[in-house]
Amino acid sequence: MKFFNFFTLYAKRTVRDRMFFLIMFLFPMLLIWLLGSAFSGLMGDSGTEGEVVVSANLIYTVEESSHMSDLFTEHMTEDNEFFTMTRHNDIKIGEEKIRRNEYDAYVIVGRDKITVYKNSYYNFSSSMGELIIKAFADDYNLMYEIAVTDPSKLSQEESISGRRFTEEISFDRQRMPRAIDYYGVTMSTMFMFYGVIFLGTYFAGNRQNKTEDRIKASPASILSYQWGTALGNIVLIVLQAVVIISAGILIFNIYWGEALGISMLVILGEIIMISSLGTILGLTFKSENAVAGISQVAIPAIVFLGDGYTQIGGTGVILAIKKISPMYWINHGLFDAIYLNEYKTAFISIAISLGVAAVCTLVVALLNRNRRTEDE
Amino acid sequence: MIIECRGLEKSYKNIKALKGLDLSIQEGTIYGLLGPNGAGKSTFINIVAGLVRADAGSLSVAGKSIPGESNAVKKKMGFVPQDLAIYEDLTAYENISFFTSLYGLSGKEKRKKVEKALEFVSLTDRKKDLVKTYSGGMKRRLNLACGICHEPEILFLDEPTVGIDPQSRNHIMESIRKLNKNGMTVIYTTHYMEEAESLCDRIGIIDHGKIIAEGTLDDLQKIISENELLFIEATGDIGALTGKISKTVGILEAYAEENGILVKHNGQKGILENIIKHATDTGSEIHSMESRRPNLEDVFLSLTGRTLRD
Ligand SMILES: Nc1ncnc2c1ncn2[C@@H]1O[C@H](COP(=O)(O)OP(=O)(O)O)[C@@H](O)[C@H]1O
Ligand SMILES: [Mg+2]
Repeated sequence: MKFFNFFTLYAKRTVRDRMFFLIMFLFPMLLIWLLGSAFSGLMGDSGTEGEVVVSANLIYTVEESSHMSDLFTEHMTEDNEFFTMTRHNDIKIGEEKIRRNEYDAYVIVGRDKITVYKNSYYNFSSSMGELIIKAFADDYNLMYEIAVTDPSKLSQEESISGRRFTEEISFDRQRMPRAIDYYGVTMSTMFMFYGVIFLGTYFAGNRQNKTEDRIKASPASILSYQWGTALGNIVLIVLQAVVIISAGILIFNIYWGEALGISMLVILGEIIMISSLGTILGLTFKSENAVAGISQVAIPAIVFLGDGYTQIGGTGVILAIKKISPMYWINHGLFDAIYLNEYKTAFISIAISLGVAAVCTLVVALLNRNRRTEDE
Repeated sequence: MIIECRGLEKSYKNIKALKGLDLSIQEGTIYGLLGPNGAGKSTFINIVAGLVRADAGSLSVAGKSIPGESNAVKKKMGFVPQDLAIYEDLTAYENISFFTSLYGLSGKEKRKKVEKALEFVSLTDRKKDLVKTYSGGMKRRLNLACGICHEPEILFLDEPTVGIDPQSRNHIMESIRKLNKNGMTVIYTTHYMEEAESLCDRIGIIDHGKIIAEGTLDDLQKIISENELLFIEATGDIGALTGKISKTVGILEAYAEENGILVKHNGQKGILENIIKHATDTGSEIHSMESRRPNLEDVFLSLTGRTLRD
């Protein structure tokens, strides 16, 4: 199969490139370590296990003094590295603040029930807040309820209430992401994305150095060339992912959660997506430099919007923009799976990745057809 | 005829690269396509290779029409493109091996052919070095090897000797002769008349996308050998001298060249005296005059009024 010849040629030429090892293996380890230690230093005591990069900002109201509210004020109101808990006595003001997303979650301590209100806009911190309360309720065998509100459908009369879910989820309070856990994930997904550049410049480079002409003049089909090469990239990046994730676990003890299978599917989705993006870039842009140039601008933007460098928060328009970044879904899909054991975001991210790949495949097929009929 | 081409046309935006190209090439020959830069040589090769589609006309290779049935003949053809088309980050061996595998060869058979091709272009002792460490001539030879390793029946070479040292050039010319002896049909494009003269069985002279003369070297020389050809080596105001000479009785044509004037005349008496007189009049100095057998450069000049070189 000629397909296999293209596959091995890509692997051979790419592996031989020193930049490939530097960018794909060395840099991620370096940045995980660097950002992990820099941010843990800022967050509190260095060197201990407990430093967190994601902390929840909560407000609460005690509806009625009770045994429960005593427990709550005793155990939950002292500021710590996981969350801050601010008291507000007026429920109306509390609701308003949560609508405007000033806090990550709103906790109402009732007589025999704790209710957590959170914004329906996805936010890792508010999920953390929810889990903190769940953990507290679990510890003391209390009843709790989660309510979700959608601030985009703001109406003054409509009070916060909505979907309720009471399913049990396990939560290990020790397992809050440290800075290094956070960057262990986001730097891995970011540096995998750089596979776009290697594949894109490979395709563009073959056009520039005219070897593509030899391939086109040969009996090998253009499809075996494109698919063989793209698959070569998929395999290389899978290897990269395995290496940097294992190294992260072994060297930095990075937590990847229980549902490693789901996380790996998210990552495989990302790899398939970046390989399809690399193919498109390589086939449409004129030169290697153009491909590298656009990627070097686009990737940091995509990563930034995906909370890859730091949690940038944001509501409304900003959040909507963030959601355009496939990295947003990949990173949050992973964090949800790792820390919350919730897989919805993970599956959305897989769907988005495969969707992007499908669109790219279609565009490449159309490009092939046009080139065949009207060249140059 | 292994290659038949009728009325081939191709335009790029507003440039007409081919304006009705006709060619018939016989199996087993070395056919030279001689023409200046921009004549349309590469465009023709690219159409045969399936990289470019013709706007009009017909083309068949080994009885199969292109592009319609090109898959049926791609295996039989080999290409040596004008621009180097090799991977600098691979070794010579890896380059040849990869391109050969695209023609369906593998395993022991492929390895044997790769070694043979390396031997053929004298790169065996450097086969394990990365191509980026090669000289220009070595890269050209590798470019050739990548196109012939699968042992095509028809080989297209697009200016394979541009910009290399004389030694590598001779090597390549020699290699092509050998390949042809073993039965390969060779289509060779060039803008060097010496190459076409020494290498090719038949030559087509191409200019502005059309064949303007075709035949063996003898056939082509006959186009002007009925007239005498005289080359005057001169310095001074060559332009003015050429103008005067061309208006002299018995002179058919005169062209200014780099270091002299090429004159086509009818052998009439008194021509030399007149030329010397004109030289004195224009203040030019004549260093030598020689009568010569026309070469392809002269043929081209007499057909187009221009030289092959840019
Ligand atoms: N891809 C292209 N786009 C636009 N013009 C081209 C292209 N390729 C060739 N040409 C033009 O077509 C003409 C013939 O070019 P070419 O076939 O390369 O000539 P040759 O190989 O004889 O030097 C030239 O005028 C050249 O500028
Ligand atoms: Mg050319």
